[in-house]
Amino acid sequence: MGHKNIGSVGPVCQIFVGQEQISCEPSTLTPEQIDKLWVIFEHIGENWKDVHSQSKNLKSSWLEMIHVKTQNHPSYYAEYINAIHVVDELIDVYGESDAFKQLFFEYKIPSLSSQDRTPDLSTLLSHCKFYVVDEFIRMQVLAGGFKHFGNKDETNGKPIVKGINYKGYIRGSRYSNHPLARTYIPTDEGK
Amino acid sequence: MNKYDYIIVGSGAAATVIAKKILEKQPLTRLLMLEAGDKIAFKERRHWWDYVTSASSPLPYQYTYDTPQENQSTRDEDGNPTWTNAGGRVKSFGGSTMHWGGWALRFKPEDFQLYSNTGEGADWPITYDDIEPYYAMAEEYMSVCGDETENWQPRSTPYSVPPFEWTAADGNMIQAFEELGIQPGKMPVARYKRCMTTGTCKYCPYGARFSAQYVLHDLVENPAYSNFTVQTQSVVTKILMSSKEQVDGVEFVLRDQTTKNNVYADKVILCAGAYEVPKLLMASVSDYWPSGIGNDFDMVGRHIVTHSMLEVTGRAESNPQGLWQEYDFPTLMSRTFDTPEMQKVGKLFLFKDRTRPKVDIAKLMIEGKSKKEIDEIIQGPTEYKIQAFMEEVGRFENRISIGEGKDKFGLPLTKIEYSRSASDEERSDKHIEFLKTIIETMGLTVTKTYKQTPRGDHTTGTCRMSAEETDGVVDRNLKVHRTNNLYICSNGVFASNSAVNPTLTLTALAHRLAAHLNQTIETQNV
Repeated sequence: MGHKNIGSVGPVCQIFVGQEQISCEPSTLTPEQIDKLWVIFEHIGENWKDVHSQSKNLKSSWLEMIHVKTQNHPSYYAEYINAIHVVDELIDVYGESDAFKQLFFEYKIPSLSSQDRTPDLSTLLSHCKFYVVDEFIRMQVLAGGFKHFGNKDETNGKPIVKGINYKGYIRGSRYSNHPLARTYIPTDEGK
Repeated sequence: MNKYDYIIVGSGAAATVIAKKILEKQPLTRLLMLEAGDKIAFKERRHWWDYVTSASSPLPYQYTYDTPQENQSTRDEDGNPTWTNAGGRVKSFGGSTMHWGGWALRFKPEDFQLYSNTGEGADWPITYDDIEPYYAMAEEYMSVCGDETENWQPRSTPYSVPPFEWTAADGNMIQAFEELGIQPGKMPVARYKRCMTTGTCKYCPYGARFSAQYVLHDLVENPAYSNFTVQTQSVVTKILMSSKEQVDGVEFVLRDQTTKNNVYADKVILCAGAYEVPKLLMASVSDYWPSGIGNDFDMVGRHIVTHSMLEVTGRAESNPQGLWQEYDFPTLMSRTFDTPEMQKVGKLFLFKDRTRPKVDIAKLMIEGKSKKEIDEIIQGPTEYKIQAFMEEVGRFENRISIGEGKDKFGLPLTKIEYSRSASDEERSDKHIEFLKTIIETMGLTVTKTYKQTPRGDHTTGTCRMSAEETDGVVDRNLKVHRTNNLYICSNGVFASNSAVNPTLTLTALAHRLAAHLNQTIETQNV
């Protein structure tokens, strides 16, 4: 249906909108709408597995983000409502689990042209991915999701020391007993 | 009221120190600060969330940047500008410390005697010993976190805040340094104790990286300073003289208006940076100063210089520990080649690129990569980069002047005539070869070398300090030669630019000027 790397989608996903963020006045989402957006955020955690266990702990921070993005210009209120409709339609077509797999792993926002790599945000589906899903992914990573990536050191078979700090992560005072970052430890101290 | 004790033009790092110290000494001083730009919200949660989550939102001060379209510098034989300003300075209430990295390094004693040591450039009319106590004040004022065991230059006081430790990602470069006889050091950065290392220093959610904006805000809000005013959107167009020596005040226009307004003061201090100050002096033509104030010997705008940024990138075939640089500032640096011996061949200040090794997990997720794929990428091939600032010498033929047209704030655009000397080109090529050695010693494959087009971030020299009026624009107390009451405090007064970032030295000079002005008042009162 003209959507890169994704199967059939319904009419809502294909509705044509302009390239720019959907314009609207600052408005307040209902609790039901917030719950539906939270489902998107939770599915990000589930689909990247290890991040999932963090999701509930992230909620207060996530709610703050939703609040400031809907209550200030340029308001995301319309983008969030749009995303709810897009996701509802994808779930109707694919079922809940596969809908999110399509959205996260299969759908790629096309570029305006081969020369211009600017994302083509002409449909509601592309807006949902760009303004909501991608931003939720960034939020989940910076709020602690980054800690779950990395495997074992293939050179010695031992698990690696995973990252402690990351752009956007708020880990607290530098004067706590916990390290701020993975620090350099000389292997031949006293040389 | 249009008569003040002081008018300060500009509201950045230097302006703020001077205002603060004068007001602390005499709280009821009538002080007017005129700023061409706007006041921009800081510690604002929406801006921060957009910064960390959005792919399309600019930082709230980016609209103030010079644009490539405004660039009126000379062009090389390929038609490319020989100097670029884009992204180099913030034109707003609080100035460029709003976006700076906070690297806060002292110059070294030999930097104040460049001509004596090399026969090139100029000596400062002050010595390191003259400015040393003010470096200590500046470090405390900006909360510089540094290594008290460092021995790069003499210090009368230790750093008040400990340094940030080297990260694990610094490790293999530290080992290469040691193998090559290079002393590794910890980067001194201006961070308050409340820093939570969010990695978002370009727009800190807590105001934990020093910015003059915060200090200025507090001064404005302080009820004890009831005669202090900061007026934004006010473009100063001319300095008003009543004789060759005496400044009466300044003429300014409000943005988008044409009416000229005059305000008067006992002393005028120009703190509008190394670009706007010389242009303002040149624009202030009168019968007393037919070529502009301080310009009888064609020194205004001359000797413009910045650092050559040199870079070498290397590829590691794997990253078994999955390392990335976990701060938004570099933690590893060296001043081993920032020495008197290196002055003749171009001092080097080495530092590890603050963004490498780089792992953008969110980007990989957005691209649809699975966790397994991302894990493999994190521990797969990666890049390291060694960077260096090379000291260049200010030359008479390199100059700044008033360009054609105006920017969005109503400030005249900037024309820059600049070319690197053949010796600077040769020196930088040799230094890049040495940087390649560091990358190779790390066991990496060199993939890219780069010599950055001179950028405006560290511009110095355009109103340089000198003992004689034939050789510069201001004297050792930053007073414009031949005037009674016109001062300049900007990077423009630097007589040489060393190999390190200029802001700490500018802040030290501002403390020194404020002390001089306060001392002058005390003397008058006696």
